[in-house]
Amino acid sequence: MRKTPWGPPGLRKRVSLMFGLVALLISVLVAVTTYAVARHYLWGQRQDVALRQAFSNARTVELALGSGQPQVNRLLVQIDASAGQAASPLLEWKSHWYDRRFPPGFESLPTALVSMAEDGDAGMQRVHTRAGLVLAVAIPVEQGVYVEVFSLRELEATLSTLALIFAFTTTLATFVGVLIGQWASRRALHPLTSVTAAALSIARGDLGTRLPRQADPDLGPIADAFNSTATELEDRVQRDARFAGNVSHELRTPVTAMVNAVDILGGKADLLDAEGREVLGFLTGDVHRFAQMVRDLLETSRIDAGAVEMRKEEVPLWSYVREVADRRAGRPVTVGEAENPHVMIDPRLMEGVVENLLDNAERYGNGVVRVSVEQGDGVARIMVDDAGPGVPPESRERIFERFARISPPPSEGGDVGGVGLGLALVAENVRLHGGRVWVADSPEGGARFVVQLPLVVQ
Amino acid sequence: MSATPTSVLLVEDEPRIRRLLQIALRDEGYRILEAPDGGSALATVGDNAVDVVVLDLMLPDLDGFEVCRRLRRDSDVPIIVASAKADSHDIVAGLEAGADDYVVKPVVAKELSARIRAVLRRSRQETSRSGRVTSGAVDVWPRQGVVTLNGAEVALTTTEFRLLEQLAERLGEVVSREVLLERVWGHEFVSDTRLLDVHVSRLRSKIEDDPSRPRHVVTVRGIGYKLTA
Repeated sequence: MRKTPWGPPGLRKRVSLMFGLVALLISVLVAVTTYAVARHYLWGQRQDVALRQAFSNARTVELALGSGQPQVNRLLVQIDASAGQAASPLLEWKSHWYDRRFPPGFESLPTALVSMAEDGDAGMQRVHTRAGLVLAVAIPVEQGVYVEVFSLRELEATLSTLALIFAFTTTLATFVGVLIGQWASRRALHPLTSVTAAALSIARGDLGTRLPRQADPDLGPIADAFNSTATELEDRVQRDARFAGNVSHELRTPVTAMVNAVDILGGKADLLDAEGREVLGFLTGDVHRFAQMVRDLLETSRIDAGAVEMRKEEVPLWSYVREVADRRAGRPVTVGEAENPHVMIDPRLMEGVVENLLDNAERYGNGVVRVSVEQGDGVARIMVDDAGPGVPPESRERIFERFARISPPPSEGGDVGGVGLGLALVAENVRLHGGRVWVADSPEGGARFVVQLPLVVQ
Repeated sequence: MSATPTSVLLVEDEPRIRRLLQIALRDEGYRILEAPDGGSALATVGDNAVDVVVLDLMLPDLDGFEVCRRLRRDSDVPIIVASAKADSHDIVAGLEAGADDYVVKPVVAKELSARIRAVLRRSRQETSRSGRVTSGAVDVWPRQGVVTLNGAEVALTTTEFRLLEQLAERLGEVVSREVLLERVWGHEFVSDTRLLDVHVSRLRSKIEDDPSRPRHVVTVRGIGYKLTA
């Protein structure tokens, strides 16, 4: 299939992207929810543990403070040792802070929390300190406040690991979603691939191509419709071909009889009187023109029916044109040899092109002046110049139509003349070769017919 | 014309065409034999001295291709197919069935006559080369009209021989398609490369070990053919 890099994305791409998007949304939703729940739970746990530990330690402190002369610093060392690394005890007692266990110091604690405890209400708050995020629990004790600070570093590490894992699984899920989308769309579109292949095969001329019957209710009608269209097309083409064959035979046979009959009569013209010879002259001319028209018409219909078999080969154009043109003209008319570009042509068909252009120059252009070949940008051109009045600009397109009728220049007078099929055949044949033909002015004033063909890619 | 006129067998089912061509070709100096169908055509060639056969492909009894094959099996009389069938595959099939030339109707007697002269001229033409021309295992004696492959004589039709002879005359040089068509078929009316291609492939099938990879008659792309020295 053709790729369109900047066009809208294809059906398969869109299906894959949709799968990826859905996978992304679902996995993000799951990950965010799970993370929130886990975070909430872990926080709750940490708080419970911290509160229980802080209250238990606060009671120990209160008991010790109530026993006359307390050793405050030793007490805190004991508590610190039992609380583990994640917790640090602080004590405000009789307006003095014992905070050596907590390097950021009591100043880093929120004053609102401390003053609330001083007023008799226990409190808890998350605080950002030099030592990172901590949970501070402040509990009122006799003549002071006991504060225990719990490090949250471990919890944060756990949560960030969890977040990382979720991010990774989300990405993975999206990727897998795209892959599944690709696989699914390929499977779903596979029957269309075979339809495409079958259509291409028909386009190449294999009219007998059919799709296998499909059991799938969605695809069955497509295959059936395709097959019946193909059958109709095949019938039609065969009918046309038979018709063209019959017409060809039916026309060629009487025309053969007519041309030979007038030729035989021409050989016996001396048996006729002057008027008889004059009439025979008209008849002979018309019969031969008619025969040529039948040939051209049948050739045109063969092109229309796509029945022309191209046998292309690489040909040095100037050498080829010289052979064909000089032989047809009966004298050297091909000039120059500076350029001999190579083109891919069917020599037989292109010979018809060159001969038709020479005939045209002979019949309507007072004879051919010269035939030349030139090479352009990726193209080669055959140019046939004649000595006639030229083709008026308004007729330059129409002259290549079948049986075009062209008005001669006013200076010439005379009737509107039909150019028959010769130039239309030229145009058709050049088109079959992937080229184009047009008419311009010759530098010497006549018409210049130009056939442009693609160069052989080296 | 020589004292004994060339006899042409017209195989044509359409009586008017047959009659008209008979008159026109007789006026050109040929002796005309006529056959309205394939069976009588084969019988006429068997019984008479026929120099050239002009054969229509659409016949009431036998297929024209079949008549062509049978004629070719029994003799090397030159066959010119004159048919309303203009499709490429018909032309190639006619030539492969053994026809020496193929002309699409409508055909005028003058063109037919020129083609008849061409197929006859080549079987009688004197050649400039005498002696032997050698290309590998193939030896050509132009004057005697003999070709041998590894010393054994090869049966070529006159057209195949003329083709090889033209290549042999310029041994080792490229001979263009146009020159071959003109010298072998005398074509001044149309040159049909299919004519040349089919005859070259028939020639190859007789003198090449592997016709798909020819070593004697080689193609020079875009120009023509040459016989390797």
